[in-house]
Amino acid sequence: MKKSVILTISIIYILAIVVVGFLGIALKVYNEKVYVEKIICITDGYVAVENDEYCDGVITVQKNQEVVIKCQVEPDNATNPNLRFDYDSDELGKKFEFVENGDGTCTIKMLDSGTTFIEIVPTDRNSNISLRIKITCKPSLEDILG
Amino acid sequence: MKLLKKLVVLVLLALVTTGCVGQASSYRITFRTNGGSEIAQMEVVKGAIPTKPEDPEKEGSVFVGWYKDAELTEEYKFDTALNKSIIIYAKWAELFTVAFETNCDAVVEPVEVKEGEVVKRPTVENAELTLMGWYLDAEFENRYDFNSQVTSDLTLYAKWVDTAEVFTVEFNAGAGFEVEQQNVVYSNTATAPAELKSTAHRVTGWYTDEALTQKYDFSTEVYEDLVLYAKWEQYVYVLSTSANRNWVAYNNNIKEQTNKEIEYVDRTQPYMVGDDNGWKVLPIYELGILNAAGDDFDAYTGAWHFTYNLYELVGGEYVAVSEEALLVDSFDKESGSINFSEAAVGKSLKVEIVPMYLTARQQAADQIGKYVVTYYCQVVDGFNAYTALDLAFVENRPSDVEGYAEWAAFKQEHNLDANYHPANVILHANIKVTKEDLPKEFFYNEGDSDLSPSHSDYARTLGSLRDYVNLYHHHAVGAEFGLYGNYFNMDTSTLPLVTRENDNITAEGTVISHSVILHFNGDATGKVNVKNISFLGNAPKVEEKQKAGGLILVQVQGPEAMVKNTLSTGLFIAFFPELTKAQMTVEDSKSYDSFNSFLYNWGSPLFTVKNCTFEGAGGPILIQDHVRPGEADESIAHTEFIDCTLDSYVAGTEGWFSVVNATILVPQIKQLDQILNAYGKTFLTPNPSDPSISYFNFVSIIKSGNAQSFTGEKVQGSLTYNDVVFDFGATNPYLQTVLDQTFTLGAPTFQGDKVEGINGFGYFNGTYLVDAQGNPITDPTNNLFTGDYIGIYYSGMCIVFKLYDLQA
Amino acid sequence: MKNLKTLVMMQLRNKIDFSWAKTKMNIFRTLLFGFLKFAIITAITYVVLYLCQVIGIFYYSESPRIMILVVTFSLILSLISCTKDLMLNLYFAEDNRVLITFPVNSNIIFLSKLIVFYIYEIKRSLSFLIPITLGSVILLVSKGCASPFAFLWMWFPLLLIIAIPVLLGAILSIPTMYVYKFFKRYSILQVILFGSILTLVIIAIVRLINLIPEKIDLINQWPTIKKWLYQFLVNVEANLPPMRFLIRIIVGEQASIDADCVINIMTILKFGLLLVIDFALLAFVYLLARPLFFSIMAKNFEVNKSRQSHNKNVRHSKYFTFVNKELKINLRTISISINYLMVYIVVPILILLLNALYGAMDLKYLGEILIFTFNILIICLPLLASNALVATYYSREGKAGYLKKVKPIYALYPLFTKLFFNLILSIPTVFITVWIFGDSVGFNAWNIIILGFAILLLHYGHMIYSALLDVMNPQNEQYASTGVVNDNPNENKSTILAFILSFVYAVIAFILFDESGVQHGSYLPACIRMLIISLVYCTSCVILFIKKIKAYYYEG
Repeated sequence: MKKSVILTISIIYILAIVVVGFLGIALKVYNEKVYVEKIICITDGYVAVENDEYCDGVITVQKNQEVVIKCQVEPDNATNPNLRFDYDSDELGKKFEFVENGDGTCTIKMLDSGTTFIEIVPTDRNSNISLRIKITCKPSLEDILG
Repeated sequence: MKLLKKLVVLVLLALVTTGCVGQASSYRITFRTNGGSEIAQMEVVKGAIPTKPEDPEKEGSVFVGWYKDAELTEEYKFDTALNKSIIIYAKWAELFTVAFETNCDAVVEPVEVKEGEVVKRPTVENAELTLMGWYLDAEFENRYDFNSQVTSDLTLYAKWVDTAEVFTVEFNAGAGFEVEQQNVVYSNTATAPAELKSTAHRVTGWYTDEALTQKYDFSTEVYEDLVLYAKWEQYVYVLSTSANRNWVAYNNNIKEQTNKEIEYVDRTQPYMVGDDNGWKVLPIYELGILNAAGDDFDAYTGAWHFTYNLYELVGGEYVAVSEEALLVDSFDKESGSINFSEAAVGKSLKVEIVPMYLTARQQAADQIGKYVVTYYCQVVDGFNAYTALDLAFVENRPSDVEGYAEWAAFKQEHNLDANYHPANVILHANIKVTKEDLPKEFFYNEGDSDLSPSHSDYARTLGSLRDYVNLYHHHAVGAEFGLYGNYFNMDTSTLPLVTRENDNITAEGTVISHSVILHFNGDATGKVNVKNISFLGNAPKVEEKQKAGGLILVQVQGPEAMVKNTLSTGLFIAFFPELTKAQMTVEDSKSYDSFNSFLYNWGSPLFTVKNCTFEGAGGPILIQDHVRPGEADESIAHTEFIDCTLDSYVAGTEGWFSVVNATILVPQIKQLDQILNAYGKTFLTPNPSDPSISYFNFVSIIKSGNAQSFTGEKVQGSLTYNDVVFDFGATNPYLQTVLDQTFTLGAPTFQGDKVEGINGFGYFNGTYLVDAQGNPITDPTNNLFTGDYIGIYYSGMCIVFKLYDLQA
Repeated sequence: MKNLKTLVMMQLRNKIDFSWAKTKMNIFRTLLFGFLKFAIITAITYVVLYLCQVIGIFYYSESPRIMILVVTFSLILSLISCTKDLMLNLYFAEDNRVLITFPVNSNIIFLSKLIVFYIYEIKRSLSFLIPITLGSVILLVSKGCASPFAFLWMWFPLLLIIAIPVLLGAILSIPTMYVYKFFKRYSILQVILFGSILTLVIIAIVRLINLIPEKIDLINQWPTIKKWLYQFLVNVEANLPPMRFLIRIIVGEQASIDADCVINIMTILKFGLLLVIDFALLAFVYLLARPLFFSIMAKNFEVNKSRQSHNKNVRHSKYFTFVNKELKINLRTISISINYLMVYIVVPILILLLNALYGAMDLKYLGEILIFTFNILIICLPLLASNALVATYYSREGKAGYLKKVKPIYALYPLFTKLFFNLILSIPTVFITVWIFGDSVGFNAWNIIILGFAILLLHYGHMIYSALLDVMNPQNEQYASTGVVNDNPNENKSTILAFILSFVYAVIAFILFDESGVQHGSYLPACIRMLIISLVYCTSCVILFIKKIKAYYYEG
C-alpha cells in the first residue's frame, strides 16, 4: 500500500484511541458516599412490632438486668456505618443506666420498673431513618398499688 | 393545477381536523335521576366549576345527593373544574312513616323519617299515667330503642302505667354521666344499668347512700322511689410515662456529635414553641389493668388524662406561674396539647406534664418523678408544624404568581385555612415531604396535556417534578417571617427529580433543574429567617447525571434573608440569591455532598457567607454569574466569605462537568498547573487512594450569566475570602490593565493573595509568568504564591482554586 | 554538463511521470493540486501542534523537539527507501546496460543517477518532511519565538538535509547489495527471514499488549500522561544530538528552552559544517561506490538457476489452470504477497491492540458506541485500502492482458479467479478480527457471525468494484513498459472510495448501534441491518461487474 495510506490509517488509529479516551470516559466522582438506608437490630430478646407508632420493637427486661443492644446497617458498604443511640437524658440515672461500649453497641440497665425508649440513628447525615426500641421493665403490684 | 387542487384539499382537511380537535373546549354533565324528575344535560366550559342544579323530585323518596358512580358509593360535589364529560347518578332515600299509637287522649302526628335515620322520641304528657315506654307491638313485648335506625314503616305503641303504681329509680352517676331513670312497677325489680366507664375508673356498684356504705342489690323488689349512687373505682393504672419522641430527638440533636457533619454550629438555641396552635407534649404512657387473678397487670390501651404545671424563667430560675390562665389559652387533657396565649410570647417556660389518676403510692415523693415529664421552651409568635401538610402555611404566594391556584385548591382539599399566614413556622418533628404533600399539578401526571405516551421520554417523565416549580413560596413584604427548625430535619429526598428542562423534552441525564424547595420573594422591606434546621435533598454527588434534576434549597429574590445554623446534604444547589438587592447572609451553616454547587450567586451584590463549612460539591462551591454583562440592566455579583471552610475536590469528570459541557476544558485547566509548578506550588492534589488521578479544590467560578457553559465575555464581580479579593482589578488599576490586554490575547492571568501595586498577580505569555511590566516573575515569595487561594482569569472568567505546596 | 543534464532528464522521466506537462491546463491543474496538498499538510501540522500546546504537552518554544522527532522519523524512512532503491537502481537496474553504451564519461552516469535520486527525494519530501517543517516554523514564528527570517532561511538547510539520506544510502547500498545477492541465491532464506521477522513482530505486539496499564483514564490521569510525554520528548532530544544539530540549523539557536530561536553566527557556522559534511559524504560515495558501480554494471548478474524443473507438462482442467496461474503470480509478485501479509495479518493484531487499550478504559454508554464505530472503521480501512492493489491486477499483466478476450472460456471466470485468493484469504482474517473485536466488547456468537459477514460482504463489494475499475480503465501500457506505475488512477479512485466507504459505514454503524442499544437493549438488530446494507452494496457491485463485463466483452 502507498505510504500516504499507511500514514493516514495510523493517524486515524491514534485518533480512535484519543477520541474515545476523552469523550467516552465514564463519570467519576471524588469520594462518593454510600448512605445508610436501614438499621436492623440483632440483639437477643428483641421482638419487632408492627403498626406501633411509638416503636419498632420491644425488649423486655427485669429490674437491674443489663442488655447489650447490637445493630446492623444496610447496605453493607455504607461509607459511615456508625450509629448514634438517643435516649431521654432526663431519665438517665433515675430510670435507667446507659453506657456506650465504644464498639458500636450500648448497654442499658433498667433501675426501676417502667419504660424507656432508645432511638438508633445513623450518623452519616440527618436523615429520617431510625430504629426505635422500647425497653420495658414490668412494674410489680407493689410499685403501683403500694 | 393538480398540485394546487391537492394543496387546497389538504388545507381544508387540516382546518376541519383542527376544528374538531379544538372543539373539546366544553364538557357535558349528564344527570341520571334513577326514577326522579328529569334534569337536562348541563354544558360546562372547560376550566369552569359547574353549578349544582335544582334537586330532582321523586314520589315517596327523598333526594340525598349526586354520586359519581351507579353503585352510589362516591359522592360528587360541585366544587372542581371538569376535565372531561361525566355522568352522575341521583341517590334517593326512602321515606318511611312512623305512626304513634298513644293509647291515650294525646295525639302524636306521624313522622316521616328518611331511611337510615333515627326517629325522635315524642313527648306525651299524661297526668295520671306514667309512660313506661314505646313498644313495637300492641302486646308490649318488644320495646323500641329510639337509637335504632328506621328501615321500614313503623307503628309504635305507648305503654302506660298508673302513676301511683310506678316508682322511679334515679341513678346518680355523678361525674357528668347521665343514666336514665327507670320507672319500675310496684314489686318489680329495677335493672342494673350498663357498666359505666371513664378514663381510669368504672362503676363497681350502686349504693343507696351518698357515703357509699350500703350496696344496693338489684334483685330486691321496688316498693318506693329510690335514688342510687354510683361507686367509682380505679381499674386502669399508669404503669410508666416517657417523654415523647420528638423531645428526646431534640435533646439528642443538640448534643455534641462524633461526626461533625451532623453537628450544628450553635447548639444553644432554645426550643421554640408557637402560640397560634397547640404544642403536643403528650408523653408516651403505658397503662395496665389488674388481671383476673389480681396479681399482675395486663397491658391496656386507651386514652389517659394529664394535667400540667407551668413555670416561668425569672431571674435565672424557674418559678411557678401564678395565673396560668393568662399564659395558656387551652390545654387538652387527653391529647396533651398546650396552646399558649399571646401574653406568653417571649417568655421562657418550663412545662411539667403529670398524668392524672395516680395511686397514692405513685404520688409519693420518691415515685412521682417517674411519672412527671418535663419540657422547656420559649414561646414565639407562630404556628407549630408537625407534619408536611403543616408546612403548607409557609406558602403564601400572591394570586398573580404561578402556582397560586394549585396551592389554593390543595389547601381547600386538605382543609387548610388559605387565609392564615403565620408570622413564623416552627417544626416540632422530623418532617418528610412526599408527593402527596404538594399540589399534584407540580408533577407530571397521567392525562396531562403536555405529556403523552407518544413522547420519547414518557416513561421517565411520568410522575416527575416540573421545572421552575417553587414548592413553598413565601412572599415577605414589610414583615419578617421565620422558618425555625428546632434542630429537626426536613427531608425532601424522596421527591422525584426534574426530567424535562423548562418543559422541553431533554436527553436523559442532561437536564439542569430550576425547581426550588423554599423560594422567598418580596422586597427589601421584608425579611426571612431560616434557622436551626437541617435539610435533606434529593441530589447528592453521584455518577448519575440524573441528579442534575434535583432540588435547590433556598432561593431568595427580594427580601433580606438570614440563613443561620443550618445543615444541608444532598442538594442540587443549597443557597441561591437570585438578583436580590437586599442582604442575604448564610451564617453558621454546613452543607455537604451537593451535585452542582453549594452557592449560586446570580447577580446579587450583597451576599455574605460567614463561619460556614462547605464540603464535597460535584462542581465548584460557588458559582457566581454577572448577569447580562454590558447591558443597561446588568447586575454585578459580589460574594464575601468570612472564616469559612471550603473544600470541594473534583476530578473534572463529575456529573456537573458533563451537564455544563466542561469536560473538554478540564485538561486545559489542569495543564495550567504546570506554570505554577516552577514556583513550587500546585492546585492539583493526588487522590490518596489512587495517586495517578489528580483532583483540584474548585472553590469558585465567576462567569457570565448568559450561558450555562462557558462564554468568552468579559465579566465583573468580586469574591472576598477574608482579606483576599478577586475582583477583576476593580481595586487595582494595574491588574485591570493587564486583564484587558490578556483578554484579547487569550492568555491566562493568575492572581494570588494580596494584590499590592503590581505585586501579587501575573500573566502567562506562553513561556512563563510575567508581571504587569512584562518582567518575568522569578521570586517565589511573590504574593501570587503565598496565599491559600489562586485565582485564574481565563477566557473572561475567574476561577478560584485552593493553592497547595508542591510535594516533590 | 549538457550530457549530465540530458542523462538526468532521461532518467527522471522514467522515475517521475511528467505526462501532465503537456498542456497548459494540465500543468495548471497538477501544480494546483500539488500546492493544495502541500498547503493542507502544512495546515494540519500547524493545527495539531497548536492543539498540543493548548492542552499543554509543550510550550510553543519547545516545538523544535517535535521537529526533531519528525525529522528523525522522516530521515530514517528516507534512508531505508533510498538504500533499497539506490541499491536496485545502481546495481540491478536494467537500463544500466543501456546507459553504459552512451558516449559519456561513466562518472557522469554515476553522478546523474545520484542527482536523479536527489531530485526524486526532494519531490518526496514535498509531501512529508517539508510541509511538517514549514508548519512547525509557522507556529514558532506566529508566537514570536522565531524571527520571520526563518521562513527564508529554512530552505537552505533543508536542501542539505535531504541530501544526507541519499548519500548515506549510496554508501550503505554496498553492503546491502551483497546481502541481497546472497538472499536471492538462496531464496529459501528469504522466506525464513521473513517468517522470523513476522514472528518477532507478533511477539513484540503481544508484549506491548501486556504492558498496557489496567486502567486508562485520559482526563483524570492527564498530568501523569503529560509528564510522560514531556519526558519522552526531552529524552528524544537528549539522545539524538545529531538531529538537534540539524534542527538548530533550520530554526536557529535557542539560549534556553524558553528563549526565542535566533539565527545568528552559530547557525551560519553550523550550516557551514553541514555543507562540509555533505561534501565529505559525497566524496566518500564517489570513492567507494563508484568503482563498485562500474564493476558490477558491466557484469552479468544473472544467477544460475540451481533448480530446474523436470516435470512433464500436464494438462489440467481449464478452471484449475487459471487458479494455478493466479497462485503462482501471487507468490512471485513480492508486492502482492506483502500486501496480503500486511493486511491480513496486521489487521487482527491492530484490532487486538486497540481493544486491549479500550478494555483498560472505564467507559460510559457513548464510549461503548464509539468503540464499536472506531473498531469497524479500523477494520474496514486497511481491508478496503488493500483493495487498491486489486485495481491493478488486470493491468499488471501488461501486454499479456489483451489475451483475456481470446481465452476459450466464459470471460467472467478468469477475471474472477484473479480475485480468488483475495476472496479466500480475507474470510479467516475478517472473522478472526471480528471475533477479537466482538469478544472484547461482549457480543454473542450470532452478533459476531453476522457482523463478520457484513464486513466481508463490504470487502467483497469494494474488491469487485476495484476490479471493475481496472477492467474498464486498463493501464496495461504503463505496466508493460516500466513494470510499475506511480500514479495509477484506478488505484487512487479505489483508495479514495475505500476511505469514503469506511467512514460512511462507520457512521452508519454508530447510528445503528446507538439506536439498537437504546431501543432494543441488544445489538443484534444493528448487526442485521449492517449485514443488509453490505449485502445490498455487494450485490449491486456484483451485478454491475457482470453487466459491464458482458457489455465489454460480448457486445460491440
